[in-house]
Amino acid sequence: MSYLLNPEIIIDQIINGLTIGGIYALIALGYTLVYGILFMINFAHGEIYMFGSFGGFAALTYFVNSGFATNHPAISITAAFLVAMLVSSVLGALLERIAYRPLRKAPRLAPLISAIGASIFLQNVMMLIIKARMQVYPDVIPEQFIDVGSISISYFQIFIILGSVLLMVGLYLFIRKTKIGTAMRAVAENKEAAALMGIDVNRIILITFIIGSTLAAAAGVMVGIYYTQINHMMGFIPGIKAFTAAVLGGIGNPVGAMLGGYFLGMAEALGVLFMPAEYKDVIAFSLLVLVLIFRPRGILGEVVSERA
Amino acid sequence: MTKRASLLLLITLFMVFTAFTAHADDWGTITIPAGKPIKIGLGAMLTGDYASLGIDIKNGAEMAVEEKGTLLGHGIELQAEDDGCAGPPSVAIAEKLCNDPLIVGLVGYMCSGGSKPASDVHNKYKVVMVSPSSTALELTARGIPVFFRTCWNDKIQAKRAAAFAWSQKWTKVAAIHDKSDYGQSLAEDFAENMRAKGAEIVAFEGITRGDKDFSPVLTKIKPFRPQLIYFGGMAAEGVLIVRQMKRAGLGKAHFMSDDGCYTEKDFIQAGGNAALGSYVTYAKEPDPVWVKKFEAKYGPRQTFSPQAYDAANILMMAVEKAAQKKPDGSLLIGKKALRDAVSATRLEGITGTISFDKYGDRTGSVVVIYKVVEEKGKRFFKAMEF
Repeated sequence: MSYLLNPEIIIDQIINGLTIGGIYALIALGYTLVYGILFMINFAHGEIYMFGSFGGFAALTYFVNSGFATNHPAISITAAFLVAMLVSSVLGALLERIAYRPLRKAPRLAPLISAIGASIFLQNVMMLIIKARMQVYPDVIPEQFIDVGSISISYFQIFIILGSVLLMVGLYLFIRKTKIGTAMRAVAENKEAAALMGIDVNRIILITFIIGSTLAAAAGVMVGIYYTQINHMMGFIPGIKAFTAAVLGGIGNPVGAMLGGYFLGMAEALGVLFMPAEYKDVIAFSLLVLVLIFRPRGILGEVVSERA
Repeated sequence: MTKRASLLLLITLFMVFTAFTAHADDWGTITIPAGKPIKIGLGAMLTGDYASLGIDIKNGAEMAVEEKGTLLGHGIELQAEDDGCAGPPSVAIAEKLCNDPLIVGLVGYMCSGGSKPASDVHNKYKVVMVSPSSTALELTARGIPVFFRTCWNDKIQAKRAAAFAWSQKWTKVAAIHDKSDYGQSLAEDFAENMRAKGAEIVAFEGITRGDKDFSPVLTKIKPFRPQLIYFGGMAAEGVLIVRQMKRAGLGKAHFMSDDGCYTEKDFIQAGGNAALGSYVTYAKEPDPVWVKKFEAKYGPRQTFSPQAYDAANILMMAVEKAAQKKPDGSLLIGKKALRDAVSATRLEGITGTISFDKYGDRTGSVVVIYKVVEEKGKRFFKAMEF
């Protein structure tokens, strides 16, 4: 075992953990934002991420086939991200409008079941579109590596790590500094009071869904570019992992979701050093159980309970 | 004749008759009424991550059935079902098809993990099955008389792969498998063979089918500096391992896998530059004339369509041999007679000469090592001289 604990391997695994952790965190934010405002788990969030990934895939494939991508790889990728975000936002907004808003006053179980139904429906829609075949993201930019000593880092990894951090910082500033962000926090604290203050609660809820979906779409395209394979079931496991991350961090708390995402990614990457790699998924869910035993509200959960 | 004597005669006649029909086939008979088609079942993964392989199998069998057209005056119908490359759906299909009175036999199942439990169901109902692709060692070691396969037994695949690896002087080897009946037993057998030759197995790790991120396990393997990473499993995961090896700092290690990775679409195309230089093991290339005909109809072939084509032909030949045609045009097919006809197959198939040993394994399979190469701008599996 000790030979696995040399610094080089640990640094490698930390980079692996940061990469996948950033993805988990981006998806987890969608769960947590919605929960913070509506106290419901949007179980179709994994599918929003999946649709985003396919939106980016369609755009990128179009650019590659038309030859545009060979001359303008950076523009193609940026455009793919934008298309993905558009697809996911529209989907997120539609879901909120069709599947959740009519049930807002219903007992808490009703929107949850509606969410699970939406999730299954969306998986099957995509299955019919792609005929249940695995799709492969085209290679737009050849992967390059930076070598630091014996550690080599892929540009893609740096891109994902920096990209996810940037998006999260952006989100944090948005919630803290802008007018809409302030309104979101107000609605999270007390819907009725916020409405009395002249905040259009329905609009804020819609915006919350759109923001969560945008982040998930970014994660979806990153996963597509980095891991290349996408299919209609791709949202399921990351969805559950991100949900775990959100709960770990304290659901309802955006900073907690970010923390939970990285914590989970790191635990998975470092955990395999101590046990057979086939137990990777076991690590994530055991951690969840452990944290919930000692801190039922998650790592940063206290803040939520005060707010709620 | 007294009343009693006539009764006795009747009873004797009845007994002789039942004894005769029972003797006709110990396992019972299938009756295909006049005007009804003969049905051949097919189990393969038609949706999901390995669907390219399953659809390829279906196309192969379909082509054989269509070429044949009719069998003893009956139409032939191929009933393809999605076996999910796993036990539970395969068993469900087995129950459904074995209870269909028009089904004579089945091509499948695709994956060893599906064929294993499904073959028990087939054995219960005595419905013969010919798998084009289930290669796991234990399938023919369980005493199931109705199981046959037109692919090989992984025992020879592992042995041949190990012999090649040893000839390349790869003495430090890491093995990864996908925890399936197929991948794990193959990787274990490969490791065993390498160890026996004197190589060092520096790591032996499992991954989960459907996972996309294998960098943690590859990073774990990295400090052992293996010269070869052997993967027992399917292309969807294999191609990701190849892509992520370089990221994990294993760019110098060679990659070798099995017939599950011998697919142009899911391995060569999906792997991009990373797949170049990888090795896979697969059977001899099938008859090029057949390949041309197949590709004109269905597009590029992937993996097991030739084996499925041969498997369907074996079943249809056996029906021709075992069926008794009644004056009204209906067919009587003894289940045991049909199984024995399959067992006694001598076919010059498009994958070579086919006959079965007493366990249901194909005799005389040849394992070829292929390398992914690029020549004249085209990437393909090139057979290695070895």
